[in-house]
Amino acid sequence: MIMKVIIQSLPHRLIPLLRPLGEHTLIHSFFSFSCVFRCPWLAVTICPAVPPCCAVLFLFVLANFTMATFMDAGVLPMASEDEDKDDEFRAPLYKNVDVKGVQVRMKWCASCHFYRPPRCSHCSVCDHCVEDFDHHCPWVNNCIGRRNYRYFFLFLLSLTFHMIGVFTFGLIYVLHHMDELWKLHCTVTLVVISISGLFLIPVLGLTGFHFYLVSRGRTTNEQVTGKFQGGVNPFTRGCCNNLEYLVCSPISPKYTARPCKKTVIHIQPPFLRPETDKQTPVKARDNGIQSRDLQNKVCMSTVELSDIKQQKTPPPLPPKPDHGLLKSQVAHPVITTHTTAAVFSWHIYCTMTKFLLALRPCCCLFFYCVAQLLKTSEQQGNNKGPDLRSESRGSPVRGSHQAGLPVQPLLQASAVSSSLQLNSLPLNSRSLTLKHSSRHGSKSHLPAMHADGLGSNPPPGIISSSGLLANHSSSSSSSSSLPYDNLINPSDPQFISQRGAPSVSYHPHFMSLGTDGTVQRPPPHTYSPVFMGVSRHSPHLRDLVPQELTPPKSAAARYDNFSKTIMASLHERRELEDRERMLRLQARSQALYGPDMGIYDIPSRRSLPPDNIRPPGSRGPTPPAYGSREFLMSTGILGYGMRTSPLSSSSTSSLTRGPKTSSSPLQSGSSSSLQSKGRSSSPAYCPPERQTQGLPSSTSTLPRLFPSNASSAPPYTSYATTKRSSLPYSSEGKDSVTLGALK
Amino acid sequence: MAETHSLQDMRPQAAVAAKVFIQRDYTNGTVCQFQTKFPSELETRIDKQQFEETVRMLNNLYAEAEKLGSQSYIEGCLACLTAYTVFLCMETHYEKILKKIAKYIQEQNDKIYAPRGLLLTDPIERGLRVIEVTIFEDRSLTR
Repeated sequence: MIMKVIIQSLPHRLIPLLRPLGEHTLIHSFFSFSCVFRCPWLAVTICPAVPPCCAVLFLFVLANFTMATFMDAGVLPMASEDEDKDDEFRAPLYKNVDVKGVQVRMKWCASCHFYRPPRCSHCSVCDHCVEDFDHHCPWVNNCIGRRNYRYFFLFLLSLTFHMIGVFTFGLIYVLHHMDELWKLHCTVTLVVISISGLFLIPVLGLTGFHFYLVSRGRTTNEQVTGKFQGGVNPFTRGCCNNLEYLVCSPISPKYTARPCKKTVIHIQPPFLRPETDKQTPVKARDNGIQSRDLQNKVCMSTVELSDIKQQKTPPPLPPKPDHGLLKSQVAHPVITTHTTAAVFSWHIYCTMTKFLLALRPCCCLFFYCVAQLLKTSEQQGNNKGPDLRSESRGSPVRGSHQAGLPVQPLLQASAVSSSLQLNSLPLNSRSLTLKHSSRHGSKSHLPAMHADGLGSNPPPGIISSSGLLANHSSSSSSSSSLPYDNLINPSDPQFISQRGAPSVSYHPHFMSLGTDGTVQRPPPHTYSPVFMGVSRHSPHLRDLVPQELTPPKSAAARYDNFSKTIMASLHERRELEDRERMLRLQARSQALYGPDMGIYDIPSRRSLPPDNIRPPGSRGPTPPAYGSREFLMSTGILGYGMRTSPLSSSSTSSLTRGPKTSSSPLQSGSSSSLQSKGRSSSPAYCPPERQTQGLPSSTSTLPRLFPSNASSAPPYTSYATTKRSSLPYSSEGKDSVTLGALK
Repeated sequence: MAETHSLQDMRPQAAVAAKVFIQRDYTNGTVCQFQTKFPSELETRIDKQQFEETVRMLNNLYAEAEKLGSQSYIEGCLACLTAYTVFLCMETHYEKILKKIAKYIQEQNDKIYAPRGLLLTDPIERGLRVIEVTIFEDRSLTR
């Protein structure tokens, strides 16, 4: 097993090992060679046991050196994607955990995608997390961690003893041969003594240092970063137990490259359930609400699945309830005895909506003709509003500007064919033609319409058309009660021109005719997002609407006539429309941040928690080292709040390998030059490499941007916003040119 | 060395609905212990006692693997004396316990978890950081 490891690791390890190995081999062979010549004299003069002991010690040094070099330090394998799905965007950078009463902070490792266990650290040289990480040793070119710390310590210990032995015995030999000092054997021995004496000092120092660490129960990393300097170390077991644990503890297993013996387990439904089964029976209630809940439950489970499969995508939007509602309504037409015709006509409405969306132009023409034909019938003074079904109120037609259109077929399709309907039909059609005429730029119809509408004793239907007009002209949503007031109170043929409620016009169509024949109104403040767009398209209509409209009366008292089912469906519709509006707003805001959302592709939300809210008691992200790229970027980015935080979080956290180099590996005390070179180069290497790999060019330009312009913090925001339109640039030269152009 | 249940090869597998990760319990230091807290996602799938029993058993096995006992002393001494060449031919104590754990998990999966649409993954595959419990979709419920 060990041989396999050695053979496997030979190719990629030996090459960087050549230098330290070469040095070690040279020194040891030199010592050994010289010792060999001294051994006969030592055996005779001092003790015959000296040479064998020295040999054993030398072998021990070599064995420990080999184990420390080739043994896996306790590398933790990277987390699979399905494990970190929850933590990617919402979880904080640090997670506190209680270890024997002491709060220990676990940091999120952006490279390995998990919260590092206590005492674990990420080695930037080797680019993996190591359990119980001590340091990265350049002499053995390996991380020293949980599994091989023992061998490293024993190597140091045995090397110290070996060097002491060589020095001592060499000194004894030289002292005994003082008169032959300039002879070859003495000279060589002198050289050996001096070299061993010279190297003994740092090796002894390092051994003593590690002895102290073991007695205190700390790792080199913890000692250097001063983690438990003032506080209590929860990982220590006491001096003696620590030493015992160091030498005698079982060797922990290797986590990577394990021989996996996969056994196939087949899992087939139906599955057993626990005895206390909490399943709620599915009941079909009125309006099919229960069925909708069921459907949503299924939808949610599928949403979860997709969440699992989603990798590094932006935070998912909330599930679309109206889609589910539609689906449930269509897929589960649960009609019980309690269900009114509302549900049935709702289905008809939905289907007709889809149909008419495609036949928009034809419908316009048709309705215009119908309107002209039925013009004379408007003179009927009918108190009752258009016969609109309550069910049509629950119609969150999304993204459609033709919301008025579906009303016509609905009215046509409705079973009740009263004069009210006829009244409403021309009105609606008129409003529609108004809408379309406005779209086509024709204003000739409007005065005519107005004349008609303002005619004596206009039927309420006209008021609804004026309401539509008003809705066309308005550009904001507000109370929707006004047109209905007019409908109910036809003596006040007041047009509301200035009222908001762009979607209010929708509602007259959805007024229901109660069983008693009285006009029933939907509650105020219901609106459809559809007309928001419509109103925006034709703001100029506002000017054409007569100004003599007065605010209507309060409609609070008008609810008396509503039936309970209608109210329920109204409330549902209101909620749905609220949600839809939020979705639209979200979609709009997402479009604004669209290119930046690509940043989420990088597992990079760690350095800035969402909304810049950090859990109480947890520290923020580790401040980057002064002068590092991260530092430069953080000065510019982190001060800009949410707008730039997606960019900044991606950019700063994509450089998390940078700070890790400073915190994780600690070099052996004896050498610094080799490792420091590696350290200084790795932060420089890593970020650009990572940047060019998968980032959108807007963020990839950031590290290049800042070194050239360290004080460009203010222009950064403008750069960021304009950069979106100037994608993609991948070369540095182009980026600098772009920057110059922006400036 | 994969053991297949040949009779069930032809039947299609259930789809994965969710995954629950049982995290490590660090209250006693870096010894390998998993949290015995019953996750809410498994409430409808398995008994709390059964699940906790499984995790407790796993914790006991890991504690035995990491115990400083006579076995580990002998192993250490032998390794030192033979310049660690003993590892070429002998399996360490921890590895033996890990085999035992793998067998236990396999047995639990076969007897308890698979019939309930769950699957435990050996935590060694995740570096002893989490126990992964895969929840399979129960199609019979949605019908």
